[in-house]
Amino acid sequence: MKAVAIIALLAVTFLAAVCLGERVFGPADVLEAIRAGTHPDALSDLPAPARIVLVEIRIPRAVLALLVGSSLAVAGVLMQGLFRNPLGDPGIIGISAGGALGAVVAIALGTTHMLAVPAASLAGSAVTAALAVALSLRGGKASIAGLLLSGIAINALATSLTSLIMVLSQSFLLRDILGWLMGSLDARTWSHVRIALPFALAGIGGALWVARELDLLAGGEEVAASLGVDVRRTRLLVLFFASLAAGGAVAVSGIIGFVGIVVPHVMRGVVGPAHARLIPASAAGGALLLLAADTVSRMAPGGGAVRLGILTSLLGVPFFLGLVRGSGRRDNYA
Amino acid sequence: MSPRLPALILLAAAVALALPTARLTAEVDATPARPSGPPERKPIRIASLSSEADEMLMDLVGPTRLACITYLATSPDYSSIAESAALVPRIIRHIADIEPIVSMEPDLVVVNDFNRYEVVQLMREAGLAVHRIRYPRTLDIIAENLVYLGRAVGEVARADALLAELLAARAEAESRAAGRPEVRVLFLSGNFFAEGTESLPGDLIRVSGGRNVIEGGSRQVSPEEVVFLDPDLIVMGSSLRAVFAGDPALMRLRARLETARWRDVQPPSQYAAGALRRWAKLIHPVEVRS
Repeated sequence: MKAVAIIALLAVTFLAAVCLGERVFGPADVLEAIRAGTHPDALSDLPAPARIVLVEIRIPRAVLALLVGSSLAVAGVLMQGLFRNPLGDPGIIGISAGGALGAVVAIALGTTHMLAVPAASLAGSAVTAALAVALSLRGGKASIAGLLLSGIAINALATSLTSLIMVLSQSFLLRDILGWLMGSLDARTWSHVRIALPFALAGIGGALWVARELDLLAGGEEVAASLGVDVRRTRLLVLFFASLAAGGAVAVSGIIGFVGIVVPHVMRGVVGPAHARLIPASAAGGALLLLAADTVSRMAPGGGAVRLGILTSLLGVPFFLGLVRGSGRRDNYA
Repeated sequence: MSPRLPALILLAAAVALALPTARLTAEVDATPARPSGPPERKPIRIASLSSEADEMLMDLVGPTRLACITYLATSPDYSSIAESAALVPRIIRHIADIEPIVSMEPDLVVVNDFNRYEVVQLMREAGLAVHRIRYPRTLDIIAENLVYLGRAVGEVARADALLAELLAARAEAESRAAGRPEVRVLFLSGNFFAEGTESLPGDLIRVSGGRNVIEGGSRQVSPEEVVFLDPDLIVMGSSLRAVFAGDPALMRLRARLETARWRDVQPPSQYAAGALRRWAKLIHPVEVRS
């Protein structure tokens, strides 16, 4: 029942995200635009600008919000499972900061190839995540505490380098750089969907693959090892799939914070802590949150000034502070 | 059901999709679409998404043929067309939001060569005629943009007239500067952000008889560097002037300090003609008559 309700809510939110905007469309218009888009020679009562807005702008944007939201949320589940802490987030090991650095380098160099910024962002995420893991190794083993500390250091380094590049950049590029850093789904096309989709599928699929191990790790590494879990291998797989999911999301949308913290925590209260249910539920919850937030971002007064990343931060910070206050009183994490 | 089965399916789908995605390439047309001649029909709903094109388009076609203009055009500090800009139906603040632009059904869109390629690509996929002008780092590029836009909007004669004024102002500035003593100039366009020789203000300074103390591109300078550069003339905005006034080291500079609005000293359009006269007065205030 819960699954049906979540899926139904997701479908309604998706439809609303497509229908709402500067001009409000009805569901029939959406279906007509899809039909006309798949049959270009067929006659349609829907004017061409309306068809273009729906098929080339709103629908890919909504699909991308779905993919990015679910990827970030699942990455959050993985990181919270790895660190056994509900405050875990994919940004801890520098994935977001590394992705930002890669993208900013590509923008500052004035690259024109469409794949340049996403590719550079992915490379940046991969490098920083790998560095964080490598720096945390002691005797061939990565400790959680070491991972956390190296992640903090890598985050600081990537953020500083990003700031340096911004200072050195031509002034007319700063607008693009800042827009990317604030997180947005503006001007995203079906090509961005094609970039994000394999990473989202790999991240969610990989998370489901290690779901059982994450359940056992929740009782502690020694307990998990005694039950047959290869802790070292599991840790590396978790980091790998979290990096794929979060890196792929950051590559197409810029930095969108707090989805990875907020959604897993909320969904844990809805479906429980078992990862086999928590992962798909968080994927749906992340998609829901980002669809709704992006719709609000588009509709808010200011002509798009309230960027998606800003909005999720404004929503997420109070939630995060509430988590911090409540984490000492209640552990939702057994 | 074990989660490993759906996991396998998703991972297999990811691998299957990854290869076609890796082959996804879309080279952006970085060169502006050059019209081969006057358009068959003059565009009447022109969308200017470039603050560098706003002033040129306004003087070429007037507000009635403009569907939208950038918000910078409405700022009296940045724009020489702020009053006219108020007559344009729509002011665009956020260029990446394509939907309002597509909804306007413009018959011509003008962007810069540094507008994001996703934006340009999406507009072209939406069937819009998108023309890109070059970012005006020099007077020659401004001239080129004027000619190009004049052809694109079907106002060749008007563009030629504006170009003639600009070239006349340039020739006048060069002849006035000839034989005059060299003046070493530092132009701070922002908070200690100096415009170098490879910038539009740098080109205007050179033509007007000044010698820019910052070689190459524009960059941040420190107050200490300003002291060591020891220019004859420092031109800046009014907010930075207050910073200078509060700094004992900077106030001991022998340089003449002048303030100027953005639109008076670095307009990226035909209004550079007036900017040349302004720079001439700044660089040689006594000898030059406006």
